[in-house]
This record gives sequence, structure tokens and C-alpha cells, in this order.
Amino acid sequence: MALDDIYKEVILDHYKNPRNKRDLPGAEVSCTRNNPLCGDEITVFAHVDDGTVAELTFQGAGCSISQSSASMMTEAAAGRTVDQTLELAGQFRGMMAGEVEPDDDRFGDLVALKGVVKYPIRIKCAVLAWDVLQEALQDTGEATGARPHTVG
Amino acid sequence: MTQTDATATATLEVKGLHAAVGDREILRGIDLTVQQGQIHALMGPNGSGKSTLSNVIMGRPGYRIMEGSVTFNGEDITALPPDQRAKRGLFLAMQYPTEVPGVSVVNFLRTAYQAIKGEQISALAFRKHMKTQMDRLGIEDAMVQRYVNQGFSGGEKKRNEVLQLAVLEPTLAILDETDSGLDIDSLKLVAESVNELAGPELGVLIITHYQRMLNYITPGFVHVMMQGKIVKSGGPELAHELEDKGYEGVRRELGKVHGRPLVYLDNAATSQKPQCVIDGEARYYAELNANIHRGVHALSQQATDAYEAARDTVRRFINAARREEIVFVRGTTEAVNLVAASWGQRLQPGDEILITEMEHHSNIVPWQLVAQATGAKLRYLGLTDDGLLDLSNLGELLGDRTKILGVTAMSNALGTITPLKQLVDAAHAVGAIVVVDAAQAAPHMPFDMDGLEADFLAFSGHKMLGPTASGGLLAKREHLDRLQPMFGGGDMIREVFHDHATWNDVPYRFEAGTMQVAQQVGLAAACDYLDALGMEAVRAHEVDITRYAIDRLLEAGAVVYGPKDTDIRGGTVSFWYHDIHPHDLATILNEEGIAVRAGHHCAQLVMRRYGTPATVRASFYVYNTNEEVDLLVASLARAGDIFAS
Ligand SMILES: Cc1ncc(COP(=O)(O)O)c(C=O)c1O
Repeated sequence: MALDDIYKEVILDHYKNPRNKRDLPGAEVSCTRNNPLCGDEITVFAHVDDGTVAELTFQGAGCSISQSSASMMTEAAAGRTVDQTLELAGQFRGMMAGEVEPDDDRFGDLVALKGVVKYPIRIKCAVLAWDVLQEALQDTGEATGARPHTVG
Repeated sequence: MTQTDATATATLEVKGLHAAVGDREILRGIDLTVQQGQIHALMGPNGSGKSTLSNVIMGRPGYRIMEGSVTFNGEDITALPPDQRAKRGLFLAMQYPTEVPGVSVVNFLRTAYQAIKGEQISALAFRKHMKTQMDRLGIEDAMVQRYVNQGFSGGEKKRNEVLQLAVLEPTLAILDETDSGLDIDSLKLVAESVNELAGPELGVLIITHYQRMLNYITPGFVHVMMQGKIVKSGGPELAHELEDKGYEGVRRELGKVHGRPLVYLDNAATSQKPQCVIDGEARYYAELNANIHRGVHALSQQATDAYEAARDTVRRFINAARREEIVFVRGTTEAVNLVAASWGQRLQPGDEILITEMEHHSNIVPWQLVAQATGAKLRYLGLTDDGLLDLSNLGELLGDRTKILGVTAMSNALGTITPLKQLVDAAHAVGAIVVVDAAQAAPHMPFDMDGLEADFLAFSGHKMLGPTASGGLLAKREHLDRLQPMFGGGDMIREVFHDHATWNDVPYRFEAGTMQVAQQVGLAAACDYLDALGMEAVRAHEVDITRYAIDRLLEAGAVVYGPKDTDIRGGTVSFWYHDIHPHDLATILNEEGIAVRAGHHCAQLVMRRYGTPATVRASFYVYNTNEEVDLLVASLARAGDIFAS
């Protein structure tokens, strides 16, 4: 049943027990965005060290989809290079557009969000965290001379 | 119809009756005989003259008999005052029972009893008589100690009428629209009481415009009245021929959405459409389709006639003074934009536009555009904590500089009904015009454009059982005469020259190009449909279901926005359930087969005022039931389980 697809344990688990939901003092990168349609809001903080996303945390409020997506993202992206992270973001978007069949190894828990494809109006919620992360990382290039900025 | 011996039983006989109110002939030849022991039902659409007949029979002032007779037990009663008719055994249960402050039900009835019977009765003896009747009807003591009808619910008022009937012991009773405005439970109670009282001693004439009361009371005789005449008489089966008129009919037709059972609670966004509206639009395309106002050929004329007849229907429905005061537009948004773009041109720096934080974006953004273009200042009436317009600083905000007041008649986010008349009068006192957004009010309550005296009023057909892209801008004639058209094109001109053009008459000058003809024709079918239900009854139904919904939601621990008092709110209920995000909740409800809206409802200023980005909104209409409210509340509990940590 669709209900199970979308609100499977994994999503609820991340929503109720979010991972890496905290401030990150001294973060080189941070960015805030909201989705006025439903009031979801997410701030992403990252330590970018030598082209690698060394540590990634978030703060925010909103629906289960937006918040669980952010939580899963912090787990999936940490430790990857900026390039790899941006590529993963692209693939995640592809999954939400119904174009990319996610592979479990790279996606981990994020696969659970696949069911959201059936609810076009909520895809925005699922990709919000990724929008924020992408925007935050964009200017860093290979992370050299990264400067924090805020949008939103 | 069988005639029995008229001498043995009390008999009311109406013969060849023509009667008028003022100069208007309403009854145009009525023949009707009702005897003690019989139950008759007189059915017909609103405005067919049913209530006029009952008023003439009872001798209410204001009606003039032009021809024919009304006799009771062989005596001509037309010259008798009402109290004399009552003494002879006639009784009328009124459609809208009036309040009698300061007089308790029991005292009222004793006085009436003594007057009718022409004898004194001791308080004690009367009490006993009354108690017997109360027991028969299951009426509690507390009710008869209260002042007559004061603070009574719709159901209590009608039961009080039935109690009067029982206590006063007439031989012939007329029940005028006793079923109007009752929810199904009250209706059953009242019907049971009437059944209890009916018998060989009592003749009953039930006047009703829909059939649902006759599900519980079986009349021996049914008459159908239209345009002041009884057009058909028959047995009880006739009532069932008319079956598809009442709520039950609507429900059967609309309770399923697109053939699937769905609990559709998103009526504030748009309503479902009855088959007659879908057919009306389809029939236009199949039988009448041609471009209007321009063809010499017959079909074009027929199409034009249908379109213009739709204008007349809308005029009647919303009670505008004149047909040319209705401009067809594709909905509220277009209507407000038309006024803003055209009237707004006159504003100058220093002028002010006053709107409210309760508005839908379609009554905000057009005014922002006007303010930006003209240098006029946009100001806002705020909201109180309990979801009403905050009028405490109205005097400050509304002044000589105010040129336009824009206000909603009913909030689509909170359900609040605004004090329109007060605002219209206040605005007119400072020389401002008033633009009313009736997108939510027009579908759900009786509306009187003429009485309101608003300058402009906008509504959308799709929210009131009509097609999308149907709707209207209603405006005073003198305003339309001065209003610049927004769109130029075909049909809106009289003559076109190289450098200028002259305008067609009002309202055609605002209807440029090929209009949404089929949709406006469909809208007329929707207005007729609502008229047949009766807008009083539509409102009463929604009051009942809304009260039930609010009670159940609060009981379930939901936070309900806006006023809780159903006197000042409509059937749009915004809420939060525990701390489940509205989008999550709406998604779960969807899985349960319940369609609600979640989001800011195009009213971000309202959301911001109450510190929430979004709410879940359940909004009711004629076809919704208390059982559906129960389903909603049960599904909330399931959502609560899913999200419980
Ligand atoms: C109060 C109110 N005003 C205006 C509108 C806009 O109506 P429409 O979209 O039909 O133009 C709506 C409907 O969403 C509404 O609820």
C-alpha cells in the first residue's frame, strides 16, 4: 500500500530521530532556505576540508519528508568529496523525477523517499535539503577559499 | 382525490383562489380540500406560492384575495382576523418561528390556549394537560421553562411549534416548511411528533419544497405547486417521483466523486458538480452552440438567449437590483482584477486602499499592483486572536483618504463571516467604495446584493456547484457606467475608428471577446439547483455539520483556527492535529480516502498572523454528512498512531 511506501519506517525513524541535527560551530559553509508552500525550512552546515565534506549537519522544521530527507542526506554525503556530493545530489533529483533507479549502496536510507514521486506536490519537500546543500557547496569549487553565505 | 362527507368532519376548502402581494399576483387559481384525519403534502420549488397560500388561509396581513374563496366547515373565513380562525380550529406552524423574549413557553401556551378555547384554565390543570402532550412528544421540562424560541436551536424551534400544535388541539394544522433548516436527526424527531399527533382528529397540510420529510411522514395526498398553481395531485407515490430534489438526492448523486467513494472535504477550493450542471453545459454545446450577440441566424439568437437567461438567473440568485449589474467573468480573481485595474486608475498618491489580513491573495495582490502603479497606500485591518476582523482601530484606518475598502464576506482560511453591512456603511460614510469578495459566501449562505449595497461584489461559479470559468462581478449600475473596460476587443464596442472606439452598453462593454458561454449557462443550472434546495437550508445544513465537526475535532485534541461560534462562521475548518505537519496529515488522510487541503490556502497573511506556515482545512458543502466527519476524526486518530513517537 502506498502509505507504507511513503511513510515507511525509515522515513519516520529519521523524522522522529533525526541524525546530525545540530549547529556546527566554525562551519565554512552554511545556507538556509525555505519552502513557502508548506513552511519547511532547512539550514545546512558543513566543514569542507581539502575538497571533502568532512562533516555535515542541519537544522530545520517542517514536514516528515523534508526533515527526514535532510537527515538522510547528512548521512549519505558526509565523507564524500564535494564533486561526489554534487553528483549524488543530481542522482537524488533524478530519482525524484522518476528518471534514476536508485542503487542501494550509494543511496542508503534515501531509497525510502522514492515513493514520494507519486506525490508531485511533495517532491519539493524531499529535495529542499539538497537544494540548500547544493547552493552551499556551489561556490566552494574544490572547497578552497570556501566562504559561508546565506540565502533565503 | 376522494371526497368524504364534509359535514361529519372539519373541512378546509380553497376554491379558485387568486391572491396578490401588493400588485403581484402570486396565487393563480388554487383548488384544494383538506379534511380532518387526512395528511396532505404541498410540494414545489421556492417562490411557487406555497407559503403565500398558508398565509392567506391563516389571514396574515399583507395579502389580498382577488378571486375565489376559503371556507372552513362551510364558513367563509376570509374576512375573519387570524385569532378567530385559530378559534375555529386552524393552526399554522411557521417556517421561521419568532422569539418572544420574556415569555416562557408554558405561559405563552396557556395564554394561547385560553384565547382559543375561550375559557380560563387553572395553571395546575393546564400544567397537567401540557405534561401529557410533552410526554407524548418526548419534550423535556427545561425547554418549556425557557423564553419562547430564544436561544433555541433550529430543531428546538420546530419541536416547540409541534408542541403548540399538540397543546392547542386544532382540527386542521398547516406545517409551513417545518423541515427547513433541520439536520436529519431533528427532522426525524419532528416527523415522529407529527406522526404521533396525526389521527382521525387532525387534518395536516405539510408544505415543503423537498421530499425528505416525506421519508418519515406518509401523506395520503400529494400536490405539486408551481408558479401559483397546483399542477399535479396524486397519492404518496407522487412525492417519490420528486425524490431527486432533496438532500438525499443530492447525496446519492454527489456522494461519490468520479464514480469512487471519496470523502470530499475540499469544497472551499472547488465544489463537485451535480449532473444537471454537467448536462446543462453539455446540452448547450450539443443543441445551442453558436457565437452570441453577433449572429443574425437563429442558432446564434438561441445561444444569446441562453446566455442572457443565465444572467437573469444569477441576478435572482444573488438578488441584484438589475440584470445589467451583472458582468460575467471567469471568477473572483478576474472580477477583483477588473475593478482594481479600472477603478484603481483613478487613485493618486495620498489616497488609501484599505483591505484586511483575512483576504485571499486574489483580494490582496491586485491592490498591491494598484498601489505600486498609482502611489496610493495600501493599509490593512488586522485580525483578533480568535479569528475575527479587528475593528478596534477601524476609525483610524478608514478615513477621508480611503478610496477603496476591499473585504471578504467569508474567510477561506478561517471560515469567519465578516460584519459586511457594518463595513459597507462605515466605508460609505467616508466616501469609499467597497469591493466584496464573496467567493466563499455566495455558495454557502443566502446573499442579498441589493440589500447589502456593496459597490462591487465578486464570486466564482466553480465553488457553488457550477463550472470552472463561470462567475460574476456584480456592481452598481452607476459604477459600471463610470468604469473603464479592462479588455478591448469584439463585442465590447459600439463603433471603432482609427484612433478610438466607443463602448457598448453596460455590462457588455466588460465582456470582450468570445465569453465562457457554456459555463455561464451551467452556472445558471447550479443557481437553480441551489435555489431548489433553498439557501437557508444550505446554510442550516452547514451550520449543523460545522458545529458537529468543530466539536468532534476539539474533542480529538485538534487545534481549530477561527471562531468556534457557528453563527459567525461557515463550513471551512482549518486545524492542526497534534504536531503532525499539515502536509503529512493530508497525505495520510488521502490514503484513507479523505480529500482535505493542506497549505496556506492562498492566505499567507492569515497564516503569518497565527504563526503557522500551513493548516489542514476541511470544508463542507451540501452533500457532506456527519458520518463523513466521523471518518475524518477516525483517520486523524490513525495518523496520530503513525506519528506517535
Ligand atoms: C475567499 C476567496 N477569494 C477568492 C478566491 C479566488 O477564486 P477564483 O480562483 O475562483 O478566482 C477564492 C478561491 O480560492 C477564495 O476562497
